[in-house]
Amino acid sequence: MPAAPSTDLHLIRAARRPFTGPAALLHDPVHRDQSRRYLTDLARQDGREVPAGLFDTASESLGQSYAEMAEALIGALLAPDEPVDLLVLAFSRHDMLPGRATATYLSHVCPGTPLSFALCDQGPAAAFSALRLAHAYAASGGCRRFLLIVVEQTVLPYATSTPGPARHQGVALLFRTTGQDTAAPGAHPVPPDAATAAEPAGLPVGQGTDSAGPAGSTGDVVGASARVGVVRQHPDVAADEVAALAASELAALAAGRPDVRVVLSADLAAAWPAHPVEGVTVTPPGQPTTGLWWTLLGRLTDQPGRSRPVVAADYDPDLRYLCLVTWEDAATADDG
Amino acid sequence: MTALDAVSVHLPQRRVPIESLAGPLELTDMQVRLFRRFHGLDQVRRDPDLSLHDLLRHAATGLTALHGQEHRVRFVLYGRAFPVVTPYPVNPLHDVCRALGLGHAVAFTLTQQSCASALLAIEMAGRLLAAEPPGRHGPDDGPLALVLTGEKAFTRDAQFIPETSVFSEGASACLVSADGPRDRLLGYACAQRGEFDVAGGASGAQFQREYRPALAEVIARALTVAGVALDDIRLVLPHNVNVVTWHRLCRLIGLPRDRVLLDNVRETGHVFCADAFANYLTARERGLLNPGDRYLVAAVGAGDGATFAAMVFAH
Repeated sequence: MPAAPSTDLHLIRAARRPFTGPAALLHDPVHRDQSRRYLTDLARQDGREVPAGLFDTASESLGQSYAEMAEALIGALLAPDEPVDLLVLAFSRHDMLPGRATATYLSHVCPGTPLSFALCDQGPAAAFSALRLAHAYAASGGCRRFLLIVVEQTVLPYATSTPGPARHQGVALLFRTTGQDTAAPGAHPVPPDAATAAEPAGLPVGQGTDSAGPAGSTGDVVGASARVGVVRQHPDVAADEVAALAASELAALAAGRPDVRVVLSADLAAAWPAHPVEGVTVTPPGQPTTGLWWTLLGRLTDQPGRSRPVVAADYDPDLRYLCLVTWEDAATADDG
Repeated sequence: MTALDAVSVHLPQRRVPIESLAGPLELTDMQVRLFRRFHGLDQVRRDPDLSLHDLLRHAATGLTALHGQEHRVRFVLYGRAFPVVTPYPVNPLHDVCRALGLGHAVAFTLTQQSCASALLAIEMAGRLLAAEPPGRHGPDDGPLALVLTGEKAFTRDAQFIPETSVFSEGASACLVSADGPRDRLLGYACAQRGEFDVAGGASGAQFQREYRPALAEVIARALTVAGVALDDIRLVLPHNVNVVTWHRLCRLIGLPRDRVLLDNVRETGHVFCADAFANYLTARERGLLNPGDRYLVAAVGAGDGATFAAMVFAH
């Protein structure tokens, strides 16, 4: 049974931004050579080749580092006196420094030195699994704040049949797991009105955001506030079954509320051509791992309509996961 | 309470003396002698004809307790030391799940805690299962999780740790339940030291200085969580990094050496995340654990960054 219990994760705020490459660490020839060797051996296992000369110089074609992307998001989102207890880095495609224990490094740069790990090999469903894990972890009472970072970058240094994302992009979502605070001392939550500018994804950096993040941040913070309701994951859903199942699940999760807003990933919309359109936002194509979360933040901060529940849903045609998560307006959900 | 219901390990049959690694790894005679005489390493298991998919599948099919219980498996967690081990989008985890009749399970990899990732996977499997509805017909019908580990020595960094250890290929499979009767998890502790990452700024010398105290601290914390004294630990199942590290740790924390199962260091070297499970099976085969015994599992993931982890179980 793929249903998960309702959760008690409250989104405090989020950060999102695109990145350009290459990773700063790849300007160092030593790290470039280590990366070349690792990726060459990685590709060779499957009969693929890394082009000769690709790593000769640090160019945009070398792609990004998830450590650097995530560290920038952490810097924008969190104040030093805002400790996090659990950090999950979710990704699908690997980055260009794939041998690093990136999540362990992020534990070092994130306030609170949280328990940190990466969740991967599950396509875009990884972020949904992270929400389930965070809920389960929080149930023990050992987690006040949870940070979910979802990242993707465009470059793979070998031939692959899978189209890559349009750009390097990351989204970080900060949750509290108790009813104590909506913002820690020293943090600077963004007023809801500041984050209601035009959507959808594809905004220039900073549009629809506010620069009121912690000192030194570059203005990528979104003042979203909502409570996670239900997370559901359906594995092994065939393409010809996804429309019926998604329709059934959306109806069940809407629970008769006609004002529910829906965010569908581009891949789910493609697999479900006859999906409803009223109250539905479809994520622009091109960011299969982060796009849903980027667009979702826009919906969660919409004015008017911020108090209306949101259902976000994704489908991965390769690994065949259908995933859904419901969000309720935090003020409504908390009831004080 | 999280419990290990069954454990299986698959190691390649082919044994490779560490002297044979000298050429490919460009090791000097002195370095090889150091591995053998000082670190207690002798051989590793490698088989170029076995893929990662093969290793994982062999480990899982060796788990006889899984047969007929596949429908109860809700989650498959793959704890892996190396974050990326196949070119994208090759996905042996999901391929193996489908081959095992586990396509209905939610499957993902937990990584970036290096060789400590398997203990994290057990911990998280238990938490996920605790959030699942119980079985409709009692514990025998309850939800299960399958924790897999498995790695190939596919690149230089996955073949040896300079001056420290050599890696064997291998895999393990562990069936986890939320409330099983055997090998119940009493305590878990983890400490991450990201300053030892390439971008973290700390030195290798500092890492060497702090390695054993950090491992000792996390062991002490796991014991505290479990409410168990070190003297009450019947056996320690170590990571098989080398013998001398554990001898020195024993001296540091006042643990008799004979309570640490180190025989597999010589037999296999370091099997990434699978050490704990290989050592568990060895302990069972030799009758080293009696019902009610408390035992401790420890792992250190070190590469870029370091993770120290320990678990206490009741057998």
